Amino acid sequence: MNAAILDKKTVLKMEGITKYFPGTLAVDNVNFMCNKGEVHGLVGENGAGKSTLMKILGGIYLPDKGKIIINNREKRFHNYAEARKFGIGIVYQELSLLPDLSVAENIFMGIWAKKGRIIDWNEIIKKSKEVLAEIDIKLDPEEIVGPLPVALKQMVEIAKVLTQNPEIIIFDEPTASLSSQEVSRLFNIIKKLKENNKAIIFISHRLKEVLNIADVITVMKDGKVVITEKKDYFTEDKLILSMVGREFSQIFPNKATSIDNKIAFSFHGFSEKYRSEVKLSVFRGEVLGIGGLRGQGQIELLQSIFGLGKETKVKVMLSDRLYTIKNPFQAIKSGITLIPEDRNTEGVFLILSVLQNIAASTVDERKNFGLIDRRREKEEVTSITNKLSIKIISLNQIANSLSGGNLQKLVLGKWLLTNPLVMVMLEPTKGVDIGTKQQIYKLIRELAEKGVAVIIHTSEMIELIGMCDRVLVMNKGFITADLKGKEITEEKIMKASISYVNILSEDKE
Amino acid sequence: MKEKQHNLRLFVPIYVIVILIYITAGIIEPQFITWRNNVNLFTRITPLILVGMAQTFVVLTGGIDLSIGAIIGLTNVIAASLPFINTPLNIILWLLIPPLVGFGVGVINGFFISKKGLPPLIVTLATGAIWLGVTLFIMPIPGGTVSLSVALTITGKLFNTIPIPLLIILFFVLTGYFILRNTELGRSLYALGGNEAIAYESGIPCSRIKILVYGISGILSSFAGMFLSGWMFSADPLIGNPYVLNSIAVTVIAGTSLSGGKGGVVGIIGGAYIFYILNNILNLLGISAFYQYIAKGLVLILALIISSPNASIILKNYFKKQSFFDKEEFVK
Repeated sequence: MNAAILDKKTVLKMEGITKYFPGTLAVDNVNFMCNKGEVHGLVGENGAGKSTLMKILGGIYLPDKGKIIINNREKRFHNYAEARKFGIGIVYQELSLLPDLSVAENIFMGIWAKKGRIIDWNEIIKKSKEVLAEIDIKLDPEEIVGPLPVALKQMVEIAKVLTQNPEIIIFDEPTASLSSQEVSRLFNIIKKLKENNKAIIFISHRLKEVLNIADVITVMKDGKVVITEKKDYFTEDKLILSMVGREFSQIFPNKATSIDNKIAFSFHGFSEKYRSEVKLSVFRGEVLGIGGLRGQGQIELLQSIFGLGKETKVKVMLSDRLYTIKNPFQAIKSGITLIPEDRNTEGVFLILSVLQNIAASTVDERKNFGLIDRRREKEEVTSITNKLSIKIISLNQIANSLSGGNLQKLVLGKWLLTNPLVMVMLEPTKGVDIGTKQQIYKLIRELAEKGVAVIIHTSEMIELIGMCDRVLVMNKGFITADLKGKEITEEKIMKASISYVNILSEDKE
Repeated sequence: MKEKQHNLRLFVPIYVIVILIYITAGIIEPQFITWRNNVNLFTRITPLILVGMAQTFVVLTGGIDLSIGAIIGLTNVIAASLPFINTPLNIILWLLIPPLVGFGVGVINGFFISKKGLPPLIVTLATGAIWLGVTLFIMPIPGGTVSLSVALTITGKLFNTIPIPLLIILFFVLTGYFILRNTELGRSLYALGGNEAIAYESGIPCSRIKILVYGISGILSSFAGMFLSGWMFSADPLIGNPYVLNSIAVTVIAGTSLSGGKGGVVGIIGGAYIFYILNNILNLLGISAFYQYIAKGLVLILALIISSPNASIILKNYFKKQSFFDKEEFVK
């Protein structure tokens, strides 16, 4: 362990932590430490072992070897409840709030203040206000959680963790579904927690953010710690280099050199939420990006192309033919496919096998006298798993044992088998490691070159800039910018993301 | 971690239990393993297997069919009310009408469940009550009769050696296995039970499949009803009642998950056998009917506990902790 970072009071030391899973060494003799009043960034590809390490710290897994020392005492815990008692709080990526209950109820879930045997609501609401004030959030504790925006829900989640008065707070990919404005708000909270002398562990795939907020950064690879250094030592390129051994500029494939003027796909839709009409077209050979702040109607728009919108009859133009799409069945038959935002709930059948997942949309195409041609099916699915280099033990393996990147490849594979003409992708690389990201980018480019109309919606600015030939920015349901080639810059996208809001407020005056 | 989906391997434990029961019973009572006793046994478990398959198909999609008992009663009564003089036409009618009724009744369930989005539990409970009423209207007390030759064929032997019920069992279970494994319908059932939203977004015609699966459940239940009428040589409007619980018990014991998407029909012969033997033992011990109901309920709950994902997680964690401490002691 680097002596340079031992200058403040150490609250957590993990020594020689090792964890085996059948067939893999998930965490290999890892030393990790945290100081009070310090943000410790933890980065690494998916499967590098950072989640396993944090699950050990959170009491979800027991380490096979090694010690966890909190405030100079060795501790052992068997579940999260026990870990919490020793001052460990985790803010998960997937929120664990109950949507139909109020903010206060969620914050104090299970640890009700009581008068005798009766719950003391006044006290709970008072305490909730205190906790929310502590992180500078103006929110009525009696408000129902469900309709709140994701960013505010996350604040409630943080408040919930804070009620336990933890010394060590783990943020597990907290920014994965936040816009850049919301991220800066979250960072203010983290800074405030830091001032209050908490030790913070910050896990993220977004390296810029880690460089922005962390004081010390640990990089993990293949279950081992590659390096632990102060932030000043790192640049984004250096971080990537230690994570994967590849330079950043190599991540994205070259953009399209020539784009036909021929329209491959066009769509005319209507946004219910913003009462706006949207037209978009994709030219042959190009990758179209849809940007903007989160929740500006992008997802509803793209889902309606696939027949999932509330507007049940959507007209699309595909290679000079007009189709009416009422449901996903028709969409798929006309060659339109959609990679959903949340692959765990909308993309992959977690309890079914790899084969059943990849073959799910094409079963009817491999029939021989009404029966599935199992040999052909196996051949076709194997060709997909090879092409996408999906890491599996057998085609009969159940999907839920696969990593995030491999699950995303199952969804991609399912659609590749349908020979799509249009691929709409919502956050195609969310929670996916850099190596897999690179593969997905390469695949997207190959598809576009073959003439598939690719539409990507992503909240990662870097993907819009690095991957897309053309970017449409959406704002309150309208397209506010159509950027091509060199026009695609962070400044221009951001400007278009917020410009229309200004126009609207001027209109009101 | 390395969980695999080998349909066949999933059913090994059941048949191990069956063989153990068989051997134990054979040692205690050698009469038990005689061919004659086994022929008798095939006849008795045939309706159980048919309803077990009906329920399994529905449960694989994540649904449940509580109207199975009423459909058995209805088709049982219809089968015993049709003209029973042996003419080719009469035999064809006898073979066709009950399954058609069963299918129609099942499709009605499926319609309300898929097109109206109502919960299967309530829909089938309600339609079950309706069909029970209709059955009692047709035949208030046990009675009716079926063609003698049909009755003798159903429980008889082919070439005087192979019991017909065994052939019926093998035909249905193998067909079911084949459908689940090799047809689009089978795939769709698993997909639907795995996650309906994803199935829909994968282009699987979910509502059509659901209607069809309740229809299939109706047909299989009607075969059970017909078999019972042939075996009893008459009808009883209330004969189906115990089969609701029995069908669920056989499904669960046979290794199908009630949350859908996992399981199959291969374990059903074993499941039905175990369930029947249990009944038989209780009878032999002279335990009265109400205790038998209590025992059946308890067995179902036990089977659910053993098959629930929670149970396996608890067991796994328990063994994990054990091994962790063991290792540590070893180090010291």
